Amino acid sequence: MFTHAFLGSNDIDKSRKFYDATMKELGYENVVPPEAGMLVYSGPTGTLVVGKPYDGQPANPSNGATLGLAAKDDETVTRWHQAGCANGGTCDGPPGPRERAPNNSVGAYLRDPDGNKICAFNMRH
Amino acid sequence: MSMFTHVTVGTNDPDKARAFYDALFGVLGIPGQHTPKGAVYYNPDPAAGSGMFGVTTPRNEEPACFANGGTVGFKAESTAQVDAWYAAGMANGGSDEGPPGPREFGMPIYAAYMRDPDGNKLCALFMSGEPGEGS
Repeated sequence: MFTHAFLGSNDIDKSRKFYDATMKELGYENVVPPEAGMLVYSGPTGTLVVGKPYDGQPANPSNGATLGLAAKDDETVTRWHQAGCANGGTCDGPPGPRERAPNNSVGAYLRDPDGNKICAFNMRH
Repeated sequence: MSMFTHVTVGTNDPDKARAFYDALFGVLGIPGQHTPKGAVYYNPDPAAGSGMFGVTTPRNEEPACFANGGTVGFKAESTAQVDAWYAAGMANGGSDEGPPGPREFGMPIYAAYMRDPDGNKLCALFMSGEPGEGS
């Protein structure tokens, strides 16, 4: 359904530290060199791009938007959350079952260094 | 399984957002599930893990605002589907951020960019071939 998602950053070095650490737990690496000035975590089933907005204006997070990332098991959700909290992110909901998710799937929520709301879920459909 | 489990965007006018996204996902062949609280979810195949898209008022009950720097990309099956997606959105409260056409991203891509009625930036991508192929 999705090809990619783009999240805005005002400090690519801070974003690199945060997303390298968290995306590694989900099995993805940044595939572009530092001089690209952006981060591209790419796999066969989707791409996450983190970079400065194309319009040259400061990045700012949405209120109401959340990006959900797939984790292969509950332990990965916990490791992803720990990696985020240790690398410039803030907790927006600790790992645990979520009533709103299918079959009480386990998820965790973070804000990235720019305030973008992201989460990781081990979906049990 | 998709990299993404779900993507949500915020709205301040669920009726307007529903009309817009029903039109867009109608083009992609994905029905919406409307909830009593006004949120709408598009979830083509939960078992396949293809991901879910949701439009809702923010949980914190503050006004929704769009991100600067945020974009969600949807997969299209043909250039014609990209064209139809863009036309459906523009006819239902969307605004132009880049009309359908080939884009230079180091690979052949045909894409259209649009903002939803709340300003959230979206695009539809056909990932292979030159314009005309696959349509």
